[in-house]
Amino acid sequence: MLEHAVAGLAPGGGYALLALALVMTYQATRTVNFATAATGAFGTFLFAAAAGAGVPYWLALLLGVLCGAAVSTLLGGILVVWFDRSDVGTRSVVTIAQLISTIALAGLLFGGDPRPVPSRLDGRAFAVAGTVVSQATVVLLVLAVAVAAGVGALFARTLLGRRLRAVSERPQTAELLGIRSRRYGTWVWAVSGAFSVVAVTLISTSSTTNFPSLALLVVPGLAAALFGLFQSLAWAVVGGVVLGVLQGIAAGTSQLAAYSTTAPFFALLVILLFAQRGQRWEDAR
Amino acid sequence: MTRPPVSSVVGSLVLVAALVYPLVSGAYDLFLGTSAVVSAVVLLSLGVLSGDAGMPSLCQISFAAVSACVFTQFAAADHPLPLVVQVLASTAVAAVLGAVVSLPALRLRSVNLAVVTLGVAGAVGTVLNAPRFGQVFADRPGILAGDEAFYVFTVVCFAALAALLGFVRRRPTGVAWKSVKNSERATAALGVSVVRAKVTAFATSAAVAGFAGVLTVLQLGIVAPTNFLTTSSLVVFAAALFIGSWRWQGALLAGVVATLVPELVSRAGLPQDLGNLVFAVGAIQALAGGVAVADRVWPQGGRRGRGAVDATAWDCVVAQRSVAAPTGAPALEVRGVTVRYGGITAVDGVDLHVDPAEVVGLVGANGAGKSSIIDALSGFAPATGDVVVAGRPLTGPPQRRARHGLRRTFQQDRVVTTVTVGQYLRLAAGRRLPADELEALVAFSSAPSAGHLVGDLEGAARRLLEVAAAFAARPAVVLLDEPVAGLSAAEALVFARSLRAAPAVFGCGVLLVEHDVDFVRAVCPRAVALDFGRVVAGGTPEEVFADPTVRAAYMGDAVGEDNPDRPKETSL
Amino acid sequence: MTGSALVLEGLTVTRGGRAVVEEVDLQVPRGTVTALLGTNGAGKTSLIGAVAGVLPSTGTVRLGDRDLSRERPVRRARAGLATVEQGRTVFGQMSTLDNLRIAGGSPEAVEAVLGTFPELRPKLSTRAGLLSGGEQQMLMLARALTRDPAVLLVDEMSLGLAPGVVRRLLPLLRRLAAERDMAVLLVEQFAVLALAVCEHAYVLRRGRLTHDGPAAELAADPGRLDAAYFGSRAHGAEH
Repeated sequence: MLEHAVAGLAPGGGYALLALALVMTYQATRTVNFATAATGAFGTFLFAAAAGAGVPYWLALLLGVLCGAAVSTLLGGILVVWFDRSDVGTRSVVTIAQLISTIALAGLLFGGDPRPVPSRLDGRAFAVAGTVVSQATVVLLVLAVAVAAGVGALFARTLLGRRLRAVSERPQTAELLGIRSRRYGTWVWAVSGAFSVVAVTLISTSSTTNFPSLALLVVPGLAAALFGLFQSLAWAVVGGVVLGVLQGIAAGTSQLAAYSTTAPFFALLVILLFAQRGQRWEDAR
Repeated sequence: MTRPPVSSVVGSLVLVAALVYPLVSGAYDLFLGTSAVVSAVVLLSLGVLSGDAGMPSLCQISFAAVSACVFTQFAAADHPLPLVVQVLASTAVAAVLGAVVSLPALRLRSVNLAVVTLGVAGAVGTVLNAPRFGQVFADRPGILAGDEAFYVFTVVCFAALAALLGFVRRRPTGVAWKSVKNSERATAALGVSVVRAKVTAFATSAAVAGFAGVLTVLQLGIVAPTNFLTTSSLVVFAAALFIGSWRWQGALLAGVVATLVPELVSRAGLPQDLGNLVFAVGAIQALAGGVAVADRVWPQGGRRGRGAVDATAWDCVVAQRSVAAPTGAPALEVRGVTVRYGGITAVDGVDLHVDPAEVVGLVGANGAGKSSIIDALSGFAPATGDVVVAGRPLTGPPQRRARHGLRRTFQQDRVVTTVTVGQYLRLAAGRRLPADELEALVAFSSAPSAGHLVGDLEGAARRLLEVAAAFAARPAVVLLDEPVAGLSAAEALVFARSLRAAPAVFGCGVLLVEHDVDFVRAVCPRAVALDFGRVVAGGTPEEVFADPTVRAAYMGDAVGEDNPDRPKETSL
Repeated sequence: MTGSALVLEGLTVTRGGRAVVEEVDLQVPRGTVTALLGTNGAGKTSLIGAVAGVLPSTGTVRLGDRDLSRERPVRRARAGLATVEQGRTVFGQMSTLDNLRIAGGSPEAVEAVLGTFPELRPKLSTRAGLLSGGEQQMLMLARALTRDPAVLLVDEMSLGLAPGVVRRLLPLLRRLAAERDMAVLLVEQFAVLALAVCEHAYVLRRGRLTHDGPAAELAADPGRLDAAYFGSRAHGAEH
């Protein structure tokens, strides 16, 4: 049991990072970004391709992260330019189209075959009660907590952070106060793109995966982000880890193993229904 | 009747050509043609959900997959059931799944619903990939064994489904879907069940998608999870946005394009998925520009009359159908109704009554509590106090109140624009509408005809139609919430003239919330003024507007300050 | 006399295919308060939205010599146009001080507005969402002032406020306009209150201007105000 739970920590940390990227983008740009994991996968595949072509590991990783940031900024730019006044629903549907295009472009650039993602972190970090905890797990968890804390502090303590919160709380009022919401939005897209590359790289580390299934990691990411209702960074991290652990336990149970990846779906359903229990009508009036 | 635009003639010819071509061409083109029509069936299914009912679904392919899976299990049985039973049963399973998925949709909308349906797609994919779902070969029965025969069969199936959906869309069931997309509140206010509309939309859509899954099995003979990828659901969704699939032309065009593009891309030696880029970019373009391809090629064709408002029709109706006001219990009696939002009392112990076939004006400045009263009486806001309609106490949710004789309209007009005047009125009536009644309602709305598309009506006619819809159910009382807001002074005058005669024709009382003084004077023999949630004056409009308290409420005279009962401060 | 700080020419706002504001010409001079009156639904808030740039419109919006008609809201704000929206649009999750700092005014500017609104000083660390209605309205005014705007648009300040608070805030607007040589456009449903503090008044009815003249004239002749508000048949007024 413990062994399986621990095995779920690494993906859980990855879900948490993806969830953080989702929450940030939602908070600052009013968009549920369905293309988050696809953007991350894009950077990851570039990293894998570069590393495979002999580029030093860390340089390749940096390239991948920058690529993710660039792709994310580009996708965000489409929203900024054409969907500035659209509602959350429309903006999010645009990201679904972006998810499809990212998958299509990745097919062109990287081929349709699964690709091994190299890793320097598959060694063992330490063992608890005979259960090995890998380095990737430790790095992912530490990173998720650090990012949540860092972004949380940024939001709470800096002028930049306050302005981001202002833009998210009342975009129109913020604009009327002369706050350049588009510029801030662009930065958030870039940063969340970079995060998602790290997340997807670490989740898929030392395994061979195809692009679409990495792109669909957005589902557990969404489930984790929903733990904090797209508001709380801390709960997004908790949600990611809980989801990973649940999935790990399910994967270790023989009757459930084949269905373990449905866990995010049920988590999604329960949280959404709970969160929206008071939403009788679609609009305020 | 206007002639259809050139684009739709050309478009229809292209579709016919696309359907005929595979029959005169080679076996591979026949295969592609079959795939295109099967895709078109999936797009039809999405047309119901996203197009009609406005609910995004990212799991249409999952519905197809589930049906396909059930169908192959049937086919593998030792004593197979008749084919028709197999098909119907497989489709029914998808419909049931659709109904189950619709349950979260009762509370979830837009992005949240998209998230859940994507989750469904992922979960169904996982289940299908699980080892116990083996791959079974399903034989086509003799009559459909030939590829030509099967192609013709799919085309016939598509046509039959399109016709069936077209029929349903003209019926109240289908109009209710569009009404839900337009506004759930307004749907409930018409006495129509939002729950039922959502569940039927999901079940219908899933059944159609499931049927496409069965067709896929019959076409390919053997199916694997790779035939039903989660990403395909996304592509179908994008294709529907791009081309528009809420009518059969759009669905067919989208099906053809969705088959043709990947084919051309792979013939060009590129990865097939690259074709999806077309749909993604097209979808973004459609979202930004607001118009899907099919809606440009085939602009929606209601009957477009000259649009000249014919007031004489209404005058005739008034002359023929007016009856003396019935006597008896008041149409509406309100006692001590109080509405509180948080710590704020928006309506404070209001008493009101409206006699049968009487029009009463409810006036007051912004924030006086007029709209809150309407929300409370119609069941949209929680309130205390007694509401009695035609002698019967009225309680429960909006839909129930609407069915028990109290109808309302909304400040922003919420009529469904994509249906005809007649279809909308029939939905609102909730019963068979006799021809003469329909005629009277159409005359009141000043629409050129019952076959006229609501979206083609002018603003004033649209607002009148909304009121006509409220009358259509023959309620005891109708609450109108600022019906002339946003209309010009001249239009408001025409509106007033029509509305004044309406109670005698339709036999129902009207409570009219309005702050346009001229309009209230023109329509209401009696008015009641509210300020800070309380009744402060009553009488003829002249008396009410001459009342110093009312004048102070409208213009902010100092009078109100001495009133200790006024709430100190309100905060949101 | 200096030219008007804000000039609107032929401003038309169309919503849902219908002109809710039609061909409005309006000028707001520096140093004074100009009132835009009219009942609910007359188009006042749409007009403010068009000037601020959040609603699409045709016609000209000029700030001093600068034509802002094609600019986005942020650019208009940065050009010196401040808007106090209708309702309580404070950033409720943030402290009062953070609300004041957010617009990017200097610490001195923040200090200066606190001098104008001493009521806010003891509440600086309170979450803005917990302030009373009147305090929130003050905070919104103060927040707009931290950018030292040339033109201030105030939309329906009196909505839902106790008359006492309105009586405190309206004269303050007049003082601020004079002290800062700022042009103030005050949109109000409650005409009598607004007329007491402004120099010039416009009345909007169903999207069109029905009155344009000195405020004193309108205040002295209740019949005209009635006509503008309650329509043609009230008191048999001229138009």
